[in-house]
Amino acid sequence: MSTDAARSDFLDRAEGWAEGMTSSLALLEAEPGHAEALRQLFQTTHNYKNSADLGFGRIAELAHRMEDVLTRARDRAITLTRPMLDALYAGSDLLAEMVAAVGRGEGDAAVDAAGVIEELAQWGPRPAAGASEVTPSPTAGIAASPDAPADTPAEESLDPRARAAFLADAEDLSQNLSDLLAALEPGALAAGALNEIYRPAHSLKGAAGAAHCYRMQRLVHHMESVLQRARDGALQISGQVRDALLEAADRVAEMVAAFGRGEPDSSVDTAGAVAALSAFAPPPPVRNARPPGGEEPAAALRAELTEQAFGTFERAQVREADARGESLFRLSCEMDPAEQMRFARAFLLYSGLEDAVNVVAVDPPMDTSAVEPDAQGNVPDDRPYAHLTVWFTSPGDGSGALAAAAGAGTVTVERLESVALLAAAPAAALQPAESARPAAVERTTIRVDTRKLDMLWTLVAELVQEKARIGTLADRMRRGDDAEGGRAGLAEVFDSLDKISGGMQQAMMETRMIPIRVIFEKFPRMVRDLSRKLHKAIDLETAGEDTEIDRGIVEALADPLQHLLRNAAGHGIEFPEERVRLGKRERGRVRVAASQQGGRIVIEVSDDGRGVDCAAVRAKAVALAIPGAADMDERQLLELIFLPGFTTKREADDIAGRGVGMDVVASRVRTDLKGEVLLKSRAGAGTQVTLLLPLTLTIMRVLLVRGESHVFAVPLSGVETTTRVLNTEIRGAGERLAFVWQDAEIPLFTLGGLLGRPWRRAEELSAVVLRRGRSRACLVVDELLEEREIVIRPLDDLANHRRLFSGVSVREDGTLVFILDTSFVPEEGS
Amino acid sequence: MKGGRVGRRFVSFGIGGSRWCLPVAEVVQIVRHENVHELPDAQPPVAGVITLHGDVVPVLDLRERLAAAAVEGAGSWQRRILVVRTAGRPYGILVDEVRELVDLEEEADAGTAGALPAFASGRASRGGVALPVLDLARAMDVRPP
Repeated sequence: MSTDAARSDFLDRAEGWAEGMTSSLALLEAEPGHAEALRQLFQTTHNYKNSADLGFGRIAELAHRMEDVLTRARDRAITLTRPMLDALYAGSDLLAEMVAAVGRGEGDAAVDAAGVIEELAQWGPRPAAGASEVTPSPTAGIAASPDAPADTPAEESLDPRARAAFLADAEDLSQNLSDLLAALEPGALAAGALNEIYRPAHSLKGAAGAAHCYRMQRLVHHMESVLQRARDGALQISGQVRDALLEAADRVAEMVAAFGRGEPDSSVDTAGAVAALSAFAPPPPVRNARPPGGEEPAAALRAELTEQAFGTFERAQVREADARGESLFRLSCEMDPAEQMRFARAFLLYSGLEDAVNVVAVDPPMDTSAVEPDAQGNVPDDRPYAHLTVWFTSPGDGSGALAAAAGAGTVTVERLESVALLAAAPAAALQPAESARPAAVERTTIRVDTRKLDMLWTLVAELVQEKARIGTLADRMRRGDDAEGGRAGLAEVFDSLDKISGGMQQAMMETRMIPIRVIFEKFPRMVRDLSRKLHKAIDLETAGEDTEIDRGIVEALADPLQHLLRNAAGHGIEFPEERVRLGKRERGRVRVAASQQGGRIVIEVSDDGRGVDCAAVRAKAVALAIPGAADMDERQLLELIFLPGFTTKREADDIAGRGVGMDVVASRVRTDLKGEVLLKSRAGAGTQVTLLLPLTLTIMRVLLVRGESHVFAVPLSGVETTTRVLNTEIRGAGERLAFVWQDAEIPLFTLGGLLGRPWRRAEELSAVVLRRGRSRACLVVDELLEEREIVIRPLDDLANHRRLFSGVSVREDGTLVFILDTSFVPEEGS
Repeated sequence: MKGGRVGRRFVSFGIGGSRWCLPVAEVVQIVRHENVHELPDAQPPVAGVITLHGDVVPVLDLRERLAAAAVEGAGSWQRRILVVRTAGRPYGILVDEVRELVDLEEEADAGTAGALPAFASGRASRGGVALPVLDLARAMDVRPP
């Protein structure tokens, strides 16, 4: 796969990962130790980490930090606290943002993740233990680390399919690794060869983690560290290095074999291999602690610049400065541990430097919003600012910066061998810089369930078969023998082609359908954020996530649904104290349920909150001089909430506790999605909003009817039933006809009447009972045909004089079907 | 460019016995007059619709509308549909025949060449040939009030 293709593929796959993560996090928050949620989370962080191979180093780094925290939580080294969960949620948000940035062609460094990474790092493996993944040290064996579980049962909550998949992968990867290492020439420094080896190692590490083979994971991590250093040019591949790697690869192979036998990976002793590798592992990357003025190895500086995300802009700045004869410097500031206002101090230092020299980059970034108190007045942690690093360019020896930084703490300034390095650094080492910044990747792919594709394949195979049959028939008919049989055969072929094309249409249509889960997945997180923001306790229930819905609708539906959820949480659900006082459950409940009922999707958003205060709505309606407001019943009052401009945010808060943007929801659903919105409410007991939506916007289930020498289609969503109408049952005359249906008189229309043509009565007539909201009407037709699915095409107004049709459909035989827009049915109350 | 002359390529065609032309650039396609679907609810001059690459395209019969503007000889009734694009949407114009592609010079200022028929936006001419240029927007303006 080309790099661009790989990137596009990654973007495609990464869609939804972050949402999956947040819903897993929500599960984990509700039930610490939730095995499936953890498994999902590890799988996802692993997937993100693999993107490092594509040049998304920041994504990989963040995912790695998240994984560290999750690993410790799983190993019960830490208990997930709220700040940790917040940071993990923030991490998954940032991952989504970075993926989006990559999609826009900006590169993952466009998103500032430094703060979250720092934050996560504090709960990751502790460097103090001396044996964490981050800072392997030759003196402390990894097996002795408190973070390393002594024995991990390989079976731990791993389902058999995942086991089998891991085993197959791991066998291949481990074999691949051994082969490549064996072929590695001592002294080799070819980045290509090292990259080759690095890749299976990296994949294996991730897979081992996902399969709970932590010892294997750690060992491979050590191999990776050694390979990393070699790749950076910081380590020569000597015979000893190669032997250490080979020995480790052997241990890995043994652990894979053990896994296959169902034994834990701890059955293999890896201490020797780890110790051997540790001798070549890099020193811990301690920032701000390098000897001032010392010579920097090229690789280390490159690594530093990479780590600090020296992007195109920063590098251009440095090059320009070089042209002016300036040098690149790094200022490190170590604040006094007693310093209380770290951010303020850091900011002062930074502004002082801005005045004195040309600041290129600063770490952590000076983001004032990062330290602003939140709604509860909690001041975020500004500990990261205790170690501040500033890169700047300046003429001379940079001493001007020292003066500007006076009093901030222990400050050192070093001159860096900047420009030559920046220019000479191989592009790969400077990721994510311009070379790693792909052009915006055009999304030309869609994800389709393979079962749906299989169905299409089957149909295509049948199509080919039928084509062959036609060939045979044509031959026979050309020869003139058995003309009768040939004709019969042709009819048969036609029948099966008819079935096949129908099936293909259906299958293609289904490729447009995706589960509504993609919207629902956002809800747990949303409700969690809302409850915290609003100081309410809210449980979310969802149902029917697998209900399939057209892609086009999904996009248009997300906003209205979120709106409804916000309304339910913000205005429906009462504060816990109030609920208790009212004798309700302390925790409020919001439920979102989707289902397919007949030709449409039904989505209900309900809450057990205070409901709509109809008296207040009436008062408001009277104040707005809405005609008849004083005499409206409850149902009519509720419908007012959908009127544009009926409520404003403030007023809604005062009166109904509902109504914020309901007009927007209604117009989106009714106009854009051709659906319906219904609102039910009981004071004190809750509110239920029901959305009725078509399955898709381009394909519609309809009832075909004939009349006035044309075939018309009535959307099934608007059909209540069909019925017979006797001439004697029709009341009224002229244009105002009516019919009694289920004890109620409903208006009666005729196709001819709608088209402005005269209509001849008959003794007995076929009719469709139409529904629009709660109103019903009767439409008399010449003949009721069948129900079917049709593809809607727009019809120009020129060809739609009275705007009776919402579109047109071309049938298989080329004739047209006109789709009736049933909005001629009078709305109730009008 | 008042009174200026601009050379362009035109399609000349006959409608209701009169000859007209349109710049080639405005014509998307010329299709045979077959299979115009009748509409249940259309008013003249909308004659029906054709399906073109999945689009459902209204077809207009401008004969009556333009009849009063007849300027010369009768067509040969080789009916075609000229598919034009106005306001970003395709429309079909029913014509008696499509005559030829000619390079003509458009007279932007109609006043100098004598009276123009209704629904003409100007005149295109070269040598002895002079044809009115059909003003599509006005000729098709049949939208109900």
